[in-house]
Amino acid sequence: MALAVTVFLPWWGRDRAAAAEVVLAIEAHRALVQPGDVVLIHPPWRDDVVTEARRRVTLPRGALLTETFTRRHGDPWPAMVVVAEGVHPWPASLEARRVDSGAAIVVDGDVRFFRLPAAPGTRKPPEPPTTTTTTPTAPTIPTAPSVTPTAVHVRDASGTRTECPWDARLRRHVCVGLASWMTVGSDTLVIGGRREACTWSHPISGGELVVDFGLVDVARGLRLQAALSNAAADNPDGAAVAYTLIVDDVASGSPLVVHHRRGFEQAFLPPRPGQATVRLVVTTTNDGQRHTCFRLTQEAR
Amino acid sequence: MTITTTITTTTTTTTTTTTTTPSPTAASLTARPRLVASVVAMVVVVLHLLCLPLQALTDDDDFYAPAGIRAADWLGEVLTSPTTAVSKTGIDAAFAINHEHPPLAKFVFGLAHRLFHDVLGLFGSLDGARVGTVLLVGLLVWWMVRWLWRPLGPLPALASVAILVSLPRFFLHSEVATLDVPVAVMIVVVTALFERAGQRLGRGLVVGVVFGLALSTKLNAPFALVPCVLLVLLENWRAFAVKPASSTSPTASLLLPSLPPSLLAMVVLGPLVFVALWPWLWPDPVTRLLGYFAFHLKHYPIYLFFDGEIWDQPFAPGRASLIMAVGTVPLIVVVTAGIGAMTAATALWRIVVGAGSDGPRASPTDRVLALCLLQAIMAVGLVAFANVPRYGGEKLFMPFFPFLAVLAAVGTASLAGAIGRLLPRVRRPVVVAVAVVAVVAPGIKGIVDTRGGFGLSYYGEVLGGLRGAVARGHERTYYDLADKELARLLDDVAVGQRVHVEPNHKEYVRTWRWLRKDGVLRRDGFVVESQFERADVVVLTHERRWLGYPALRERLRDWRVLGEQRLDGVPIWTVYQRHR
Repeated sequence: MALAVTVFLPWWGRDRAAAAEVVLAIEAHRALVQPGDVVLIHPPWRDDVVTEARRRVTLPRGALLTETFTRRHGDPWPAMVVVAEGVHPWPASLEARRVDSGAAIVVDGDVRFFRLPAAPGTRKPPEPPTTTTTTPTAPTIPTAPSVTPTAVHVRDASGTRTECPWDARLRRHVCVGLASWMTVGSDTLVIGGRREACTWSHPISGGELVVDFGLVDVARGLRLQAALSNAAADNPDGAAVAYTLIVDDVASGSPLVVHHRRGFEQAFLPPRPGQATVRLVVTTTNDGQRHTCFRLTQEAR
Repeated sequence: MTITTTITTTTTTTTTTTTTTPSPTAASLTARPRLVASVVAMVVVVLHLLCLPLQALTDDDDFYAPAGIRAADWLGEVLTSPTTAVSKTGIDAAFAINHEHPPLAKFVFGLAHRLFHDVLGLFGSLDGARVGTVLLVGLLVWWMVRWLWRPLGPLPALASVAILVSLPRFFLHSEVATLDVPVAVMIVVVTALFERAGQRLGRGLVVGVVFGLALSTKLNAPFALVPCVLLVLLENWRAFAVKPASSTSPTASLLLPSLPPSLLAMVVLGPLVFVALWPWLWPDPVTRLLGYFAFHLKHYPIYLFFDGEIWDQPFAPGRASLIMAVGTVPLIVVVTAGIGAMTAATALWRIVVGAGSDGPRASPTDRVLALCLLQAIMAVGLVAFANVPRYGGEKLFMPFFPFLAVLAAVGTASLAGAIGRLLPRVRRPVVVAVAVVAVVAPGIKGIVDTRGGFGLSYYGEVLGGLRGAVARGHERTYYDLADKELARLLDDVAVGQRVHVEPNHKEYVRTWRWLRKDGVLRRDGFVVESQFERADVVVLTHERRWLGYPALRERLRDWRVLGEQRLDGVPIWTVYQRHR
């Protein structure tokens, strides 16, 4: 029996439909796709279907057709239409999501479709604080308005500047051509024993990660919190990471340093009238496993 | 019922043999497995040495091979200038590199490099070091044949080696300079020696020393002790007793079974050998030992793509390891190992039921089977159920595979027996040969299909092969494998051009350095470029554990494709040329 499976598996697991046939099926079921949907072509080696479909199918505004959608565990599911060719299985996590959402499978020849609505957010929001103290290990979850980065770039140890433009699909600034972790964007890290929402900001050895916030209202002051993930904080070989807040081109106090310590460190910029240009510079001598993030909010001490 | 009969017969034979006074027959029985084991080991070593130059480089090769070469240099310094060599400065200079891991396998890599590269010139620099792993695999199969020959019989002994060598992923790990196969070797050797030691003091001391060697190989070695302890407890549970108070002893006391000397030696001698063999610890043993434990207890998370999701923290679920354990070997091996595991479970039950109050009574056959089952469970269970990062497919539980192979061989022998009874007219050697070939053939086909350094893309039929596994959301390759096919392609199509690799460029900077050093890559070929924007040619390895992979794939979609490696239609890497 086992040998029979071995012999017939290649035949059973073959692709059943040519790209053109799958594209015809997508066109026939185009009504399933709504603006902003991810249209996932499955299995992931059917890039020929993606190429063909992009040429021939007009999808609603903002819909993205891809075979490479990847989700980090715990992140919210986007609204998506799955187009699965042949008899190939799909991941159990995707099937669980389909069952949870009650999505029915539509079969068209050798192609199966289903549509998943966007999940309200499988990522748990931070728990409300149980204490009003603001010690580094028990930070208050910021309720004040957050300041959002407007531009990001990296200057490496040799002085070369790399831009990190906003990537709408990944919802983060991505430093083009650098390591895949060189991004800046909303994230969730395990910090001080719980998952904390903050802005991922991986530094680069001997260089600078520069996050610009543009003109910011500083009338209420600014509060900067920064932390390493627990695992990074526990790494005995990990280097310190320094966050320097620069307001109107002047460094505001000494850098906020995170090193062998779990939990957030924080610093405050006293209130000053009007607006100021705000920039955050993140540096380290060795970026090995420097999984760090920050929060910048408009609030006083 | 069939299975039980087979084993009982073997047991009877074995018991008779071991209780008889040594005779010419007994001597020949001892000599034959030794000879056969030597021949088998030689064949396996030669096979791997022939395949070695084709093998890909893992990102760990560049950690352990240089550390091994430096450690071997230090051994030379010990002979030439011992005072300097054993000073703190001398030790730090030699062992600071890759001090997160103990040294035994690295010494082997370094000595192999010295002999096979420096002295004999038979292999390139890196392959010279990797011969060390191959030699350890030779030791492994020698011990498997030697150990299993009498308690299980020649067929399971030889079949277990054939099955092990036919596992595509184990095959790849057997040809790289990493610690995973070496620790598997040491755990098998310790288990074999422990089983054979019995109550003998001398053999027990040997077990203790060899356990120390295992501890000096990799961090998961200490856990090999657990199945040994468990077996001793199961064999002796009736010896536990409470002695009631009496006129001579006013309080009740607990009577414990006498422990085998080997177990005590493992606990006492093992750590001593570990410290004695690792020069890095000598200048400051307490601090450096604590540093060693701290590093591994708080190991940084490594991304794993599993079930269509990227995992780092929380770690991937334990079932990821269990699925990789059965999903990365051929289905026929899973089935026969399942039969073998049932046989072993029956043996374990016999040990428990037959335990005596005056010491162990179990047959060697039952003890071997029980130990193989317990060690296999321990190897996978440790990774699956402990709160540790799970990454890299099967590499973290490499000791599982030799024991799996033994169980599969026992299952194969049972199947051959059953088929022989169904087809009495067919000669037994023919039935046995067909059974063994049927069990190893899918694995060998897998090795052939993934030759040239793609062994980590092999998936068994349980997950539907590579295509089924990828469709299910498992990673199509890992370890940043730098195969020579890609390197040579770049040498052909990208001479003088700047080449960048995504999503994990930095590992290829390290591994390609070896290929250039060893002449696999031309020195005047392509230029390794660290910046995507400055690259003329970009290699995309389709590893989905990287969050940036989808964006990269999208970005490169319109670039000109210079070459692509697909296995079963699944892209492994693609080489793109920037439009000019």
